[in-house]
Amino acid sequence: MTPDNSVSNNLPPFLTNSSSQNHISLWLTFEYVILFIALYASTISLAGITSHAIDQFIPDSTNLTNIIYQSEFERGMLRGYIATIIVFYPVFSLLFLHLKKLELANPQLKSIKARKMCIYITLIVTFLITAANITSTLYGFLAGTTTSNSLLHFIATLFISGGVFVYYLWQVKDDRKINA
Amino acid sequence: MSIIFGKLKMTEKLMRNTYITITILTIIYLAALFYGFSQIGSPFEARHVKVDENRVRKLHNIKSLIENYYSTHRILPQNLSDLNITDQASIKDDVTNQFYNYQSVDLDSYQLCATFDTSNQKKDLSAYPPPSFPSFLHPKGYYCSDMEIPEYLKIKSNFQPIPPIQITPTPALFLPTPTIKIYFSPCGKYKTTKECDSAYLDGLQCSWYACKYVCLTTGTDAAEVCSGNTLKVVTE
Repeated sequence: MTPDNSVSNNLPPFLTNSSSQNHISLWLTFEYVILFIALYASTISLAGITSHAIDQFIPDSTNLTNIIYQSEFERGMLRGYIATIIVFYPVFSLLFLHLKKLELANPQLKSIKARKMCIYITLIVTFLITAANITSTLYGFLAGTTTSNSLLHFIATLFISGGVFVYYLWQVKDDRKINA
Repeated sequence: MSIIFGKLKMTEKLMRNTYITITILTIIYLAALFYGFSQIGSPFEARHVKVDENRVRKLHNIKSLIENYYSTHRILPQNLSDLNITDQASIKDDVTNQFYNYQSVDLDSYQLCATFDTSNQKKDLSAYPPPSFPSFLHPKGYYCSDMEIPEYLKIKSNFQPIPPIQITPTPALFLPTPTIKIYFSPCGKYKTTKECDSAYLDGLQCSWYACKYVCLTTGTDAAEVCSGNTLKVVTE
């Protein structure tokens, strides 16, 4: 993967055609919505696989659930996560690169309503997940149920949801600079 | 001109960062996929496990059919075709399309054999789907499982209806001489409900299931007697 030097020279032709602006707006809306759906699906699956790996290598000694049942259930979930990543991650990465190119070529695309809505929804959701995660870890610490397993779960969730939150928060600040 | 070049450089830098981000993300996701596949095994292995689970399910079904045959004929079938099943596929291996191997060992024990693609005898059950039927733990390859007819069916099959015995009281008693008929019945002396009798008369042989089920509706005593082989006394 090498940087595309022709980005700024490649202004999308549809942006110059005012008659098809409505159609383009809808198409970009569709692309942004799909991008964010793919982002959610990929992120949830990555978090699920990470969680499975943590339970596998550092099991929770306080968990009394039937091992066989849990193992079967988790193996089924793992298959679901793998299938989701195989389908959604390529969609996410390709759309992300494609839309990023368009945004860099024409910063006005950043003010598309659908994009802003998706970003703010993502910010709210990731903030809530991160905050809930911190709260539950703190509760566990106060109740004396904190284990290395729960701490690793906390770090993984914080890293994944916090990473998405920080990236889109940075995007919002960047958008503000352009609008200013 | 310099502004345009500056903007171009900035754009290139941002795009490069985007590519780097996506590359890092792709590596992370590939690592996650690698871990996931290492945990669930290859799809081919999963397919073999599913096929073996189906084999075990079919063997369990054949076991039930043999027990039904035994309870009716009081003898083990010579081969699986004796079971008289319309759906022959249910006693055949899906992969080889051959009948499962069956052989009787003695009067009430037999072997069911099949070739398995995987083993479900691993000690670490958490690393393998638990077997559907514990009696069918099997290694990889050709394996024969020893089976036995359950005890309750053996009792039934050994039971032979005994003709009523005529007991004539000694004349020395000088009492009225009622005829006492003694029957041996699997349903016992409490088998007085019509349901049990009709089941018996209908040629259903008042099997352990039927009798116990019916007699349970009449009370605990009846159920207890039904489980055994006790006397039924009828006085005329």
